[in-house]
Amino acid sequence: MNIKTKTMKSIFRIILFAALIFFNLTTSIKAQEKFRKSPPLPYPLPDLSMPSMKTSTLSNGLQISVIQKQQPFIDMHLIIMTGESLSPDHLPGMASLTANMLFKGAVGISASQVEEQIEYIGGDFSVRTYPDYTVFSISFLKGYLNEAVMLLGHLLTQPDFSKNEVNNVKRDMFYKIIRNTNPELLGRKLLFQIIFNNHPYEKYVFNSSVIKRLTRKDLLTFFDKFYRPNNSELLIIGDISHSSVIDISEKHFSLWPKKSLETYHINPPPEQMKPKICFSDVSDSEEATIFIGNILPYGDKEDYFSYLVFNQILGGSHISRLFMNLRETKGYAYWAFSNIELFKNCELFYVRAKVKPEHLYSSIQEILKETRYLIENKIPNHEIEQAKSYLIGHFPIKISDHKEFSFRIAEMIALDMKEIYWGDYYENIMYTNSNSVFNTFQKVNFLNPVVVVVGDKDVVLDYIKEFEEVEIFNNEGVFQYKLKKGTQNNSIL
Amino acid sequence: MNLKNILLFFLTLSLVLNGFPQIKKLEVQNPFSFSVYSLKNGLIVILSKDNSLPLATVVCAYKVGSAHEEKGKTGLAHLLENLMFMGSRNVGPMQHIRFIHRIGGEFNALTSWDHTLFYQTVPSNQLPLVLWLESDRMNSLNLNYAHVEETKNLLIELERTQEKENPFLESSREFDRLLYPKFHYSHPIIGSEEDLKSITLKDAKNFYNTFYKPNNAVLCITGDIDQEKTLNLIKKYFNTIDPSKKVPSPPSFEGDFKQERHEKIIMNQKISTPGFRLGYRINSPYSNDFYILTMIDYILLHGESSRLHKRLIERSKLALTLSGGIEKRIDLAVFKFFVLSNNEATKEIAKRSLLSEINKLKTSLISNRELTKVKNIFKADYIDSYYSPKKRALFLTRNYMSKIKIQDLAKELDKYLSVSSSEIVGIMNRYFTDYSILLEIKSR
Repeated sequence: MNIKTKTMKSIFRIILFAALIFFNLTTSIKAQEKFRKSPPLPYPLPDLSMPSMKTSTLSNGLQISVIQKQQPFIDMHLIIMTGESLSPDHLPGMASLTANMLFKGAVGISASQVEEQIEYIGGDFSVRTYPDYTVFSISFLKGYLNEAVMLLGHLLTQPDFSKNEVNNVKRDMFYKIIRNTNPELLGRKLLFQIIFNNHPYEKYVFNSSVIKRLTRKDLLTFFDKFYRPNNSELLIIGDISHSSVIDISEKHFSLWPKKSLETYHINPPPEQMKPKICFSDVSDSEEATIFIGNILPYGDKEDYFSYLVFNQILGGSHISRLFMNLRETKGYAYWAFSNIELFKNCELFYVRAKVKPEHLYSSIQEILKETRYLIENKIPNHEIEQAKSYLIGHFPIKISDHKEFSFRIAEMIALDMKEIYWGDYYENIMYTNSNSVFNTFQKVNFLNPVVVVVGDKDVVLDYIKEFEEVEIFNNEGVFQYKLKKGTQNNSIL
Repeated sequence: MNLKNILLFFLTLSLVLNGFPQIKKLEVQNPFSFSVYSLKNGLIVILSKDNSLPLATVVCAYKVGSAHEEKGKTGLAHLLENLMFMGSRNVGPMQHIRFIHRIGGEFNALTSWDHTLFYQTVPSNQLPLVLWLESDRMNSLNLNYAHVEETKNLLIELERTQEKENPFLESSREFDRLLYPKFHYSHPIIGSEEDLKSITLKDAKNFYNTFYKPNNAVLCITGDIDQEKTLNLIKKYFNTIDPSKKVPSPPSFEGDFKQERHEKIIMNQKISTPGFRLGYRINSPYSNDFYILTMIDYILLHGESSRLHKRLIERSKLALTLSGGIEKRIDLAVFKFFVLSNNEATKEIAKRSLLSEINKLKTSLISNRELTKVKNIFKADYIDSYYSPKKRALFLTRNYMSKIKIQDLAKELDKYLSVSSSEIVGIMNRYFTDYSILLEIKSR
């Protein structure tokens, strides 16, 4: 091989190599252009595994559920299976007063010492009363379980409910109600009041006038009757074994005596069969806040997931129909969403929206139109799939905070919904389809809802005069008068 | 140029265009494991795996905030934050938000004095989508006159709403002007209506082209991720985004941030109860003093059993509102109190009571029990601040952008927990002197 041939070969190799690099380079540029143009496909859906829960019962009937989970905190919830619906009929608010009193001291320990002891273990606490149950929650640093259970055991077994503290709590409850001028809270409250009219759940939305009737004596009776281990469940989530929890609980709850309990059965409330428009006056409110709701019958698992998918399509998020229609397309609303609230034997479905007063009437019509369309038609598959995708994606986000996760488990226990939440949430959503949603809503009478509007009557009332009849309430939910189409604003009928 | 050089040129060009491998800067194990990388274009990448839930959080943060704004252009940084949702070359206006919502994700954005960050939490299988979205707006934000004007109008409306709905905004801003004498630190992040109106498309473009670049950004991803796969995705979407030639350094405080005494009275017609704001200037938020002052903050103001809560609210009911604590802005820190009271007489007693609690901390040692309590509350708050994918991503990003050495992050908690009672007395006497800034708020 002569030198010339060798040189030629080298040149050829180099040109070939350079060409290859060029090819690589140009395809790379093209690839970049291409991948930026459209959104990438997702990876396969990862599994969601929920930690297992182990439940046992102490000799006094207290159920103890433990979820062993590696985390630096312990989330502890005591669930009393009694809520506001079992307050005496003449004393609505009694369940709330009793609950608010539990952390206000006990024999040998003042309210401020209780606060100090909880903060000493890096903790915080909350008390929530619902129509069906009451939950006391303490979240604290791991390593302090014994201290936390000991304190809770002491509060439950040695309460003193001092007169001073009862008066303080009653005063706080009173001012909380009368100072509440938040249109959203007032709207939800009035919706509850109308929908659960004459039903035990109505007691959940008591007003300030009942507070003075709540006495320490009645409180003691209520506590004695319902704050019993055999009417309670203790949930503990944290890096702690079931057996350690049982040992500690036996030690501190053994003095909490059980008592035979009457069985209370609360019938589901009837669905609203006739539409009703109510207005609550809140001065200085520049917008109109709307609540539109009705009862959903308590169904089976399939119904529950149909409700979820339906809710997501109608108003579950910022891309749902109501938000897109009322805010993005028509510009009537600042926001518009829908919600489902769970109870032991029914569900409450409602739409809530904040709208410009001049668009109040049209907004209500649009909400009813959207709802009617989804109930009366089979929802297109792409909307169902979109909603399912949202629900599947969003569920782990909702439980990513340890406190939120533990609250959901407490709710699940209180409402006996273990089957629905646990384990196969994704599968249940997946199985929901257009037919199942359609079939579920054929059993529902949602088209005669209660409509509640909250706003400043000087601003809003002109815009609701288009309705045949509107019931007017003050901001504590006390009925004032009926406004009929074509009459003066202040005519009391 | 000989053949070898030609070959070398092509090889280099190929590598540049295809992206160099990432440079791993460091790997840290505590308080949880994470790794830090730097791409060739200067983008800092932080990854932290936690596969307890099938989620991933992506934070994309830029080292620019309201402190970078010039006089007459306040609100520009916040405007840019909002314009980042108005579309880029391959993503339509507001589409970013819709993409995230459709998959059940959550997003938000935030502008502070020295950084602007965007974050989203999504199902972990949708990580490629988020990186596609973030890289597109880092690479090619679609800034036009209509978008700038529309967003300005929205923000002006927001400013007006805030002023209407928050009766304490005016006094809060006035107090900031007194506490932070330099404009860069004291002006409101949202900007003034007048300044917002004066911002032009050119201003927005200049700001974006200067600061929204990979060499001025931190990308942090936490959650259910595969490290290698994630790095490849990042390389794919971010490696070819051009850095800026030079990013201006953040303004630092020039001059003495010395303690001084100042008193001012303002009238607030929007409120029916009087109040006061009291503040103390502190030196660097990165000195040892800051850790001690944080514990003082917890002793006085954190929790129902804190000293001021007990004294001013629980026992005497002198305060209707009580808030405050230590606040840091870039390289400065202040300690603030805000009290609202029923009337002028109770306000004066509340002020005296507050000063008396300060004096107690100057003259007597805090008990071991109380110190343990505040340390436990702080510890719970500190751990909680990184205890979810979203919180962890924000925690890592903020710490990386601060002056804390990220490799020493594990030592941070101990610095707070090792504060002693005697150090508290010393610091109280050093900073809580007569050199305070007081703003009296008279009600209607």
